[in-house]
Amino acid sequence: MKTGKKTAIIISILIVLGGIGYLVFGNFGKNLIYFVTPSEVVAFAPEQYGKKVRVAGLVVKESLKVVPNTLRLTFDLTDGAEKIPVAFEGVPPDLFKEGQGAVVEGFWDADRTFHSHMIMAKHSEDYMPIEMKKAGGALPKKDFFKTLKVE
Amino acid sequence: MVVSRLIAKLQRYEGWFGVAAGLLIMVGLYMGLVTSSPDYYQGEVVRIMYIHVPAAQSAMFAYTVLFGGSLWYLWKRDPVVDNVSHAAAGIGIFFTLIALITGSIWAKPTWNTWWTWDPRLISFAIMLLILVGYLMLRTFLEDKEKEATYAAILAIVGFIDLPIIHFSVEWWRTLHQPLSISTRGVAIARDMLIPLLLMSIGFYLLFAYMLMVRTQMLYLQHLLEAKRGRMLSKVHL
Amino acid sequence: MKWFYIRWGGVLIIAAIIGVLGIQRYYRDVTAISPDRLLHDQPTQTVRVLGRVEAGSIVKEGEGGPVAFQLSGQGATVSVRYLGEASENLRDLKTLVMVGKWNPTTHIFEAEKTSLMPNYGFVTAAYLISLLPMGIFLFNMERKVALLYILIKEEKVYQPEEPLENR
Repeated sequence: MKTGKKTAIIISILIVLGGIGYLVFGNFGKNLIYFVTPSEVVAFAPEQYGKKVRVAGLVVKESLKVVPNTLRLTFDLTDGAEKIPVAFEGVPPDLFKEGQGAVVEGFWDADRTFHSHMIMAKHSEDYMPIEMKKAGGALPKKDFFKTLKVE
Repeated sequence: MVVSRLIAKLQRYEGWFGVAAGLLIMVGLYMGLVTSSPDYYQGEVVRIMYIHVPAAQSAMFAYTVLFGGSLWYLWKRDPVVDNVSHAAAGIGIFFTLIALITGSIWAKPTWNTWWTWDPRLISFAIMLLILVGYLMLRTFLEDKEKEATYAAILAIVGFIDLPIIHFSVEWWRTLHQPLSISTRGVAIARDMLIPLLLMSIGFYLLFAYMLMVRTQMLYLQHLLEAKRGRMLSKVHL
Repeated sequence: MKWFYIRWGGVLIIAAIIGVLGIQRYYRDVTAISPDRLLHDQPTQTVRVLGRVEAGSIVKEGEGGPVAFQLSGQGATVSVRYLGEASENLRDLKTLVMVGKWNPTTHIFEAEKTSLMPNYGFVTAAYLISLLPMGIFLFNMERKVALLYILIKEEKVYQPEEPLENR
């Protein structure tokens, strides 16, 4: 085997192993806790204030308020046990609405508000036509709060 | 002459798989893209499901075939079985990429991000990297038998990722939605389930067809190489 | 090789027919214009207008009655009066499609239907990105196999028990 080929082999094996290692030990480990829940946020110690985290919960019905002619809005996020206020600035995603799941990225601060610039919609695993939903149809799906795995 | 009989069989029956896959996918596409209804929550983007889910399922099925073939190869040392595993890996990587790309296109309008470090997404990306590693390994070594053995071991070790992919959405906190078809029942309305099933079966058949074609391709390549005297050792004629 | 090319020619023709039908359907049913185009063209027929609901602009005229709001997009804003049945899609900062007619005297867009944002762009992209490479991948693989069979027959490596199908 030529030396050039050998080097190429070693480099590419290292790249693949490095990639897998990075995913498994770097991201997977960290992201086994992909998000925290409002209950955990409420229990944050002061040194966790201002640190970037993701929080998932249900957007509480009738809690969404927009500031007219701005891109600022506030709403409450709940995991069934606790509720936290979120202050968001930006255009919320298309699927973001009250009574639906959302993952917000941002930080919890001493003003006991979660500040965010990024909302991701967390949709459930049921799929049905609009007419069926309007007619009150329901499919067997996991309870949303259970998908948050609140301890 | 078991091998040439297998190749003759593949030749004879592959057409049926190809035609059946083509028909099912065409009907599935028509139902999925035209006649099925938009979802109550996601709207039209739900239609991406009809290609994303079958591609992901076929990718995982391809890996399962690779796993089975690798075990069989280590046991029986049949080079044609090795060709089958090698072919499954090549097709598997293709379906894995399709699943990842369509998933990303689906994620943008539904989740509001192209990619996020969610356990389901990470475990799926690991499968892609394992397959890349597998195919790289298959090009490096001069000794074809050693190459096949190492590759088979890698494939068997990597199989651990499959249950992780499948259950990641149930075990951990993920942005990805939980399983729609599980012990809880089926959470997809019939209107949407039919095109999804058609596409799924179509993709499995397409995978089988591709596997037949690719196995022949690899087998013939080895045959030709052997004939040309580069690696006479392990092809039984 | 003849059958191989005929087969793939057939696949190509079917794909082309499906593509043309799809494009026709798209232009008939799901294209939408921006508020900017609406103000500029002032069309008289029913049109679909895509825009974002301005924050805090929604005014309800009684329960279940018409809803007035501002829809903006491409730097222009139009006043919309929505007469259809109540829709939960109608909310602040939501991007959606309003189906209706432009009233040139009142300068209000009178909508009778809402529809979600046509995400056909994403759907089309997903299908094209998967199906096109899949076709090319399969074509290359089959072509290679057909060529290999020819090559092997010529080199007389392999004498099959049963005659190989003429590819």
